[in-house]
Amino acid sequence: MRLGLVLGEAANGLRRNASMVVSVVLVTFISLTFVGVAVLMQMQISQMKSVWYDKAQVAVYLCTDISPGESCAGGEATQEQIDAVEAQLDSAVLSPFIDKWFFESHEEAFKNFQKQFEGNPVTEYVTADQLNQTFWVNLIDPSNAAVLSESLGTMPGVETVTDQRRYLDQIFSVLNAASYTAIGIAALMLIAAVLLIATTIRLSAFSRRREIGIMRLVGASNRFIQTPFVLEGVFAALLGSLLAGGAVVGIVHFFVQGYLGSAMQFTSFVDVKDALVVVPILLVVGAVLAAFSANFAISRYLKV
Amino acid sequence: MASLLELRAVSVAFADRSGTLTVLADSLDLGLRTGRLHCVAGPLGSGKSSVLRVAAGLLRPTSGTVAWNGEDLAALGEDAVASRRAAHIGYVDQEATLLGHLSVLENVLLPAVPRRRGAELQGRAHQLLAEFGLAEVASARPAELSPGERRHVALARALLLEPPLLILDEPTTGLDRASADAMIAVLGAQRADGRALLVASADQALIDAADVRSTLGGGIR
Repeated sequence: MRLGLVLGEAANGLRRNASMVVSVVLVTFISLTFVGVAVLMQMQISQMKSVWYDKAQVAVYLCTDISPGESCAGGEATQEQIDAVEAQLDSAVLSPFIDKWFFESHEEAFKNFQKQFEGNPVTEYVTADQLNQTFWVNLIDPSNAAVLSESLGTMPGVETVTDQRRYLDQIFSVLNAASYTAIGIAALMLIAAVLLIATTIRLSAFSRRREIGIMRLVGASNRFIQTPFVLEGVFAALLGSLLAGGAVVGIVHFFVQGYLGSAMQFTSFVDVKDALVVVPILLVVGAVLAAFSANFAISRYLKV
Repeated sequence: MASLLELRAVSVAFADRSGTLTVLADSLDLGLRTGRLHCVAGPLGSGKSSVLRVAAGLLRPTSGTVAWNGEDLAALGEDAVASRRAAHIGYVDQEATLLGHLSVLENVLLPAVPRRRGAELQGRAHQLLAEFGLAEVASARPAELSPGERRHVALARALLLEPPLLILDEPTTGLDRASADAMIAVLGAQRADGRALLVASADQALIDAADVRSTLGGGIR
């Protein structure tokens, strides 16, 4: 009977404050959805980092006839210059840093270009000669790219040395900014949720002050009286957390996998399995926040 | 032997927002022994309920001391007062408040809930309901009962843990004469059983039935 009574009291409170409870559910729902999205973005970033940083190469672009800049004043890189770069890559100075490298000729570059921009009118204007011959270098530790650009960047016939990671870092900083924004919004909404839960519980306690009086009368301890109110807050917040978990799984399934995944096939995205890892986190965050806030509100109410 | 209940020089006063002090009871002395019915009489708004709440430890007096069995309540914390109250006092408030979502039987068993004695006291609850002629409505909801029946349910709840002291706030208010007289008879039977009773009432029949009376004046000055 004890547990039944406590649960019955909580259910009673939820019924009486239906509109407040709905607002608690919605606010926790939205705030925890933002939390979930932020966590998934961080997962996406670290997943992309581990995949792409390993694949990231350093490109040593060689001069073509149309290359601008002083280092390419001599026009198309000569065979001697190419051999010199190749010798440098194989030298004792650089080879300890290099995992492997390969040479891309004009024709190969042209083929790759045609494939990458298939159907784009630009393919009709570009000739093989305009595309750089390139040494593609995979480093053992991708963060050592500076060594290569220092030793090769000033060699004759080399137009420029580019670290692909720099492009990635731009993407990651955009993703990072987006996830920090989501965390910021989530934090504000969570504050709103905590205050709303506290207000709801106080209101609920006020509407049941007679019942509270009776329980006091028959010798119930404060903790015994408080429990239904705390449960009430936790229940509402858990409902919101469940909705947020559903939303996060839905976003990943329909938007990330369904839309992004097919629109951008060059990279992998977080999947439903990752989203399912986030759901219990959301449930715990929701329940703990609600328990703290409701407990604080009801003990202050009972003290007055 | 110490009194079951002792109020010494108890005053209760409330200050409203403008700072005007309303004194409901001034320097009240009251002692209660077993087998006595003490009635606090006085007109509406004279502070009878407040005195009862002070005696039950639900309200701290503005000044003066309250003691149960010689133990000063001022020295106890809120939870300690609550647990002693459960063993010492059965209290029936003015509205005989019952919890609407529980059955009559469950309402009577409420005092057993915080101490997990529900199963053990089931028999006593049924016996009390039978004693008050409420056996048939044991599984009904409070809303289905008459005011007189509700008050008897509240009294059964107050008696569940067999406290030596009963405190009842206006036990006959809102009842017709026959029900009121029945209630007075029940209270008399409790006194005969050796319980001490403290009641607040403006009902002359109940005042006449009391062994001791305190009368609160207009109370407002």
